[in-house]
Amino acid sequence: MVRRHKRENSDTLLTRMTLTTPRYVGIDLGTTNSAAAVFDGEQVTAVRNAQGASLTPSVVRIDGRGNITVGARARRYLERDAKNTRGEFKRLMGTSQDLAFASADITRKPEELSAEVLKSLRKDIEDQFGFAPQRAVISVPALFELPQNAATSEAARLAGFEQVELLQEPIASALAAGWSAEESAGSWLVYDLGGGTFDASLLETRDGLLRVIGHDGDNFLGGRDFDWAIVDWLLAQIKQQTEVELSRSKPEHTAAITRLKQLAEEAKIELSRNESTEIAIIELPVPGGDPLDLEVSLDREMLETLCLALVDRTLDVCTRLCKTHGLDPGGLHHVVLVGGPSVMPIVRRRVQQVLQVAPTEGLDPMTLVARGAAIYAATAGLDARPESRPEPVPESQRVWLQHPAMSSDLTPHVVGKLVDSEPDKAPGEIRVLRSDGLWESPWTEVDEEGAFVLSVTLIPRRPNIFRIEGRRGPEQKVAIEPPTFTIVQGLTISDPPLSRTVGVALANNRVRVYFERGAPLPVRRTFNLRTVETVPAGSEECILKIPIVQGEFDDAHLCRLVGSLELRGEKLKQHLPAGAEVEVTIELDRGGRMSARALVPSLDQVFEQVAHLLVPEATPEVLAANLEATQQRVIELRAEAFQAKIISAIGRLNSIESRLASLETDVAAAAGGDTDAAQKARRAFLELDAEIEQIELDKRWPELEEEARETVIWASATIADFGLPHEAKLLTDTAKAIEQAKNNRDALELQRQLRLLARLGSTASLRHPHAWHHRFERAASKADQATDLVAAQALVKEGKVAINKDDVPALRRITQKLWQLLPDDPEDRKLGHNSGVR
Amino acid sequence: MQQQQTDPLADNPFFVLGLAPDCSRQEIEREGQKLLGLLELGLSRAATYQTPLGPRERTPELVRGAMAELRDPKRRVVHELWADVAQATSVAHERAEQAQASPGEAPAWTDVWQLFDWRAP
Amino acid sequence: MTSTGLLLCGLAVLAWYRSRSDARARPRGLKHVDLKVARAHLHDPPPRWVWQTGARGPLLALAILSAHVDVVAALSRPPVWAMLAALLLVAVYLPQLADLGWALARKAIARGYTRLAYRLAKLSATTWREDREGGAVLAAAWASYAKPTFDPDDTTWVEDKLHKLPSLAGAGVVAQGLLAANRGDRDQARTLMHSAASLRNDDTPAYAMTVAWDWLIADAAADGRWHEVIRIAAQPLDLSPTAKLLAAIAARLDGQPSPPDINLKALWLAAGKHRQTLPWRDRALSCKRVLYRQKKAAQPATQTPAEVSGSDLQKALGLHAQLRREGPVWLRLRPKKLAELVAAWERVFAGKSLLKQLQRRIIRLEAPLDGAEVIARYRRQICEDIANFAQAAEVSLVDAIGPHADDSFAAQAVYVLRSRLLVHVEQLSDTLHNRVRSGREKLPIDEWREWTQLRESCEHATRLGGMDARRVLFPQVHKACCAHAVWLWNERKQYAMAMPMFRWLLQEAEAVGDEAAIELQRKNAEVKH
Repeated sequence: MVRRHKRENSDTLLTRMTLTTPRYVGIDLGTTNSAAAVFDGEQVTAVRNAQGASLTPSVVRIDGRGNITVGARARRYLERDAKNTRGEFKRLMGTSQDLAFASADITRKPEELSAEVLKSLRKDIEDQFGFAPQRAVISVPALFELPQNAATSEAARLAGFEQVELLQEPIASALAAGWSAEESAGSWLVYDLGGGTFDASLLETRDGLLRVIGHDGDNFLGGRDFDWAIVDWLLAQIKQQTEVELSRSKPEHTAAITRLKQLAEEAKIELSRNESTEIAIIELPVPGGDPLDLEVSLDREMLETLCLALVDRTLDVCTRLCKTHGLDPGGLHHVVLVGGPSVMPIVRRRVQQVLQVAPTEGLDPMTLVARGAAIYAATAGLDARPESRPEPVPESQRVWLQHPAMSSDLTPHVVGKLVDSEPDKAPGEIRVLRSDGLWESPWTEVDEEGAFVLSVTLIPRRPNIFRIEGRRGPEQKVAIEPPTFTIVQGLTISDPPLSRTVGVALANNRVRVYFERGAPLPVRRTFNLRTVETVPAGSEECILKIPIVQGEFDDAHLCRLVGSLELRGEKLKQHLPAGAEVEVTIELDRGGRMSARALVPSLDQVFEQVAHLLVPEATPEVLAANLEATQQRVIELRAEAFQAKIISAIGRLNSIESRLASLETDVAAAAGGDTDAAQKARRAFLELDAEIEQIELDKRWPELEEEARETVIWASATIADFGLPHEAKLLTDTAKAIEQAKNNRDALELQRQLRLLARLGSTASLRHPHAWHHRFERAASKADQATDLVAAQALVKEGKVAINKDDVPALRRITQKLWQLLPDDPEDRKLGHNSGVR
Repeated sequence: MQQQQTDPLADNPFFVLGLAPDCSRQEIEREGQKLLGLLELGLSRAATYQTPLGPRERTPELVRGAMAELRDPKRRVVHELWADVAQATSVAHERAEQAQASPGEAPAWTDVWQLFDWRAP
Repeated sequence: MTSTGLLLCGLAVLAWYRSRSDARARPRGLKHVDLKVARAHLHDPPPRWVWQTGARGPLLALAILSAHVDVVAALSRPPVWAMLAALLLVAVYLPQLADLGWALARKAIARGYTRLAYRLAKLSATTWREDREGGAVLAAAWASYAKPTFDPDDTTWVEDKLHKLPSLAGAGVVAQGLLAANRGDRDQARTLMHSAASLRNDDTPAYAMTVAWDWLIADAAADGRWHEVIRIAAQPLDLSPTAKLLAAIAARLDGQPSPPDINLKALWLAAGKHRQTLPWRDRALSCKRVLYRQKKAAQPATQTPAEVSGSDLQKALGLHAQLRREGPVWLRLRPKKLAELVAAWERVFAGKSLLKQLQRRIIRLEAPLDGAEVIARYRRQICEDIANFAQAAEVSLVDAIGPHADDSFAAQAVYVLRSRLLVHVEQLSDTLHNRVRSGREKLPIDEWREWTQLRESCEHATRLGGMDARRVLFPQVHKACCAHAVWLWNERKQYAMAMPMFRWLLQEAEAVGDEAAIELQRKNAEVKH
């Protein structure tokens, strides 16, 4: 937010070529469509492309000769020439997935394709505004993972941008809406229904400060689901009319399905304006049959019936978000709708019904994000104009200025420092004058460090240009470089918050939290960790991993691995003993790009290479296996929940099951070669896993209580019969502690006390004359699970002989041997991403 | 134990920004911006801030973090409670503590290592 | 003349051999030296040992001197006498002659010749008799530590040798400690040297422990922690003459009961490096000698919160800030301060004014907040901070604050600390247990380190959480540690390392009175390999 005239730039002080005031550029790099906007301090203008549209489809085509086409012209080929045309590659950002273009026989990374879209937008700006932007703000989804952010930055670099900042989409929307609103104080809800995701963000403006209060969303719900609902309906219609059965999970039907989906999308858009539409299906390719021709009519009522459940799911998210932040229904002041699918009349109607506030009118939901990004560029001081060398002003004094580029404050501070000043030529006093001539600051003394602090007064809602003057004596004026600076009065936006907690996974499967969710970006933090294992120098197979994870869970294995610092034996100068200190620093810039470094002070060596900063790949086989396992887990849990009559768990399991159903289609689509659906499914599984884990934890409580009850009864009986006085005393203490833990619902403490009680009881039970007899029986009953069956059976035989002889020492020896052959009690072995630090 | 949040006393946002607990939102933004500017220019007047634990180094991360904390009223109220150390209290304790300085400690033998043929750290 | 000389000689040789056999006999009786527990009791009864050892040294010196005189005198006497005297002289020098290898290695160490020290130490006949390989690595580690600057190649060479040791015992651990110190990681070195104490048994040469104690004493003296020097030396250990001198100086400087001037001078003579130690000897001599421990003069009454103006909250915060400022060492000596702080917070949270103050602010901030919830959050933060204080200062919170009601702030603070301690140990034992079950091997020294860490955290939890914590933790720790030790013994053949683990488990089982575990560990600790 502070505009920085960098020290290294200070000796080539810059003037702007043709434009007197700064221009700020914002870009919405969308999944289906992209847009750009330019802000001049007063007005935000959406950029139009060569076709005159403000939206450029995010589609890239590379033909056999290597010619690249982007946008609407490429989109036409999406269906006709799918092998050479690619769309929706945003979802693959940050993965290692290469996209092939068959005719040209080349592959491109998702970020390279995004770069083509950015280049095209950059060209449009140049055509319309006369300059090629060097700096810009690009919006990213709020829940983008770190590798995806990194890929977006890379795309911008490839497109020729010198500097970009990333901004979360909901903040961009709110910023745009807040800028255009007359009266902007209060709570905002940004309802962002995109192609594949739904995001709801709660914001608040007060005293000109825009602040994000919270996010929520559904990563598995978007406009495409509406399209799929129509496609499914179409498939049913086709089957009914022609008896041809097409399926989304069959790779050979892909061409037909893609075609239907496009028709569905068009029909959906059409129905936003009209009451009904005719869908003309012409020459639909059917494998092993003649192409189909038929016409289906779809009206708005039918469409709304198909989509109502989906719309209501988005509204559930909104009400949940409001409730979490203590906002009653009706407590909202504004609702802003963003994204193509949000123009559907049913969305507007349901929003108004449920949230009890009319969506803000007069905003273009398609370019809102780009507009917001452009305004944000102003608050970040990212002037997009190219730089040029200044006219050398003789005898001028250079100053290094610090001030907010945009501020809600009417009287912000301006801080400055003289650069390379000579004692006899430096100004002793500085003042600033506003360009309208209606305000000037008093002369302010420059201190011994050559610094000065001034308070300036701004005119609301416009760019304010100030001139700086310096003087040595009352008469001797000194020219100042730069002679002017600009501050826009508008909104102050809080620093972008981090969307997910970031930390380092430790060897004990815990997480050392570096930054909590909501921490203002940029951030940097260093913690001293210690290695748990020796890494010999020169050893190739020994690698010490420092896994970096993202997520809000205490257990590392539940969080997502987003990168890993690796201390490789072959790169070490000397042995790195266990227990050695490692200073691990993680840094995130404003756009959420991560860098990490590990310094080993004892070796004086730095490791900076973050390995596999990639979204893991999702193969269809793994996904299918995952699906099956998850379904099985849900079925088991549900049965248990029914038995135990845990209503809340049943409710949550139902919701998981409904999501699993939609996941099934994604997994099927992944098997059909849809890599995008595969990524979507992968993320869905991670979230579902975490949720199921939580349910299991909750479910364990009644079980634990039951176990506690039984253990107390058993231990009391055993200790009463065979216990010693001090054991009886301990039993009373432990029983009391168990009761207390039960009251506090402290599962950990309860388990601890139970372990203690079990030991007490088993110690006492050993005094039972037939103690070893019982133990042997119990062990023998599990002999079929032994690791060595033959040995176990032999031991069982021996044991029976010992019982007959009443040889207790022998029986005991045999039982202990038998125990060693039996599998350990089933405890989960959870690995903290193989972390080598504690 | 794993969750190492910022120190509520030493890194208290009010101390970092040098503001009183009852300051206005505008003051937080204004003062924060000013300090960020001063720090960027490397000026000595912003280099440290006062806390009941003595002066601490001020960094841009701390200032930005402090602004974010105070923008959120939910977090701000807790910081207000931590920042309520009256000046008088800490000074009184300073005196009390000087009066009861620890009993005469003998000096350290820093080069004792040589006696055993070990290198001093 | 000759007869007194002979008598003295005989006495001296007898005393010397006794001290040798003592050193060897002791480890058998010693099950476990818990130094950290001892550290918590800084005001132990006056150490008497300084007197005893102080007397033995000069006696020995006198005897050796008179033996030399006797030989010269006996030359003019009948040959029987001369032969007798010569025999005595041989008896005095025999151990030195027999261990010529080590004597030379010691010279190489002082000059920093790592590889030479390693080879010479291997020749040592007596000093490293029990663990020649380990002793040689220790010598090499020591030599690389003696170099004027850190030499990475040298250290890597030593580490390679260390990793190749067939079985890890005390000497290896001490060598690793020296390497850590060499690298400048004194914390690690301290932990390893302390942990070596539990490895004292037949496999560990006594001299390895002498080096460990030397280092620990030097480490404490270098920081001016004279209390600690005295405390370490107060235990019946094989200390080097230099360490004994340091302990005597420490006792003088710290105003503890100490040997008379003549003993101090004798210790100084015996210690060597006279020029470097002279200023400190003289400084110690200039301090008044104390015969008995004197009660410390009553400390000036601490400022009670009542004397400070301001609200309850401000008083509590003031005290809180003071404890933070002073740091853990200060607090360790004044555990009552912690009780005072808890009482101050108790007043804050019991009163109504905090909630009123908060509600005023909530209205001003126009925030939809619940005052009680905010206070709960604040209370939790304060509890965490108090737990930090107690942990850093190693002060038992329960003992410091005494009896308290179940729903008091004090109870919450105790609970927070307790669960934090327990969770930490549980995590460590879980990690260890999982690793053992998956059979993932670490280098022997890393195995030892992991166990040491778990044991230290257990002892820490016991010190701070008392018997309750010890008892609650035992089942889980026993399960993990026993599996680990059995695995080390059976699969990895690390007998020297597994034995102290069994002994420690036995000691813990006895402490918590777990009969089944006592029986099991008693058997484990008796197994011979």
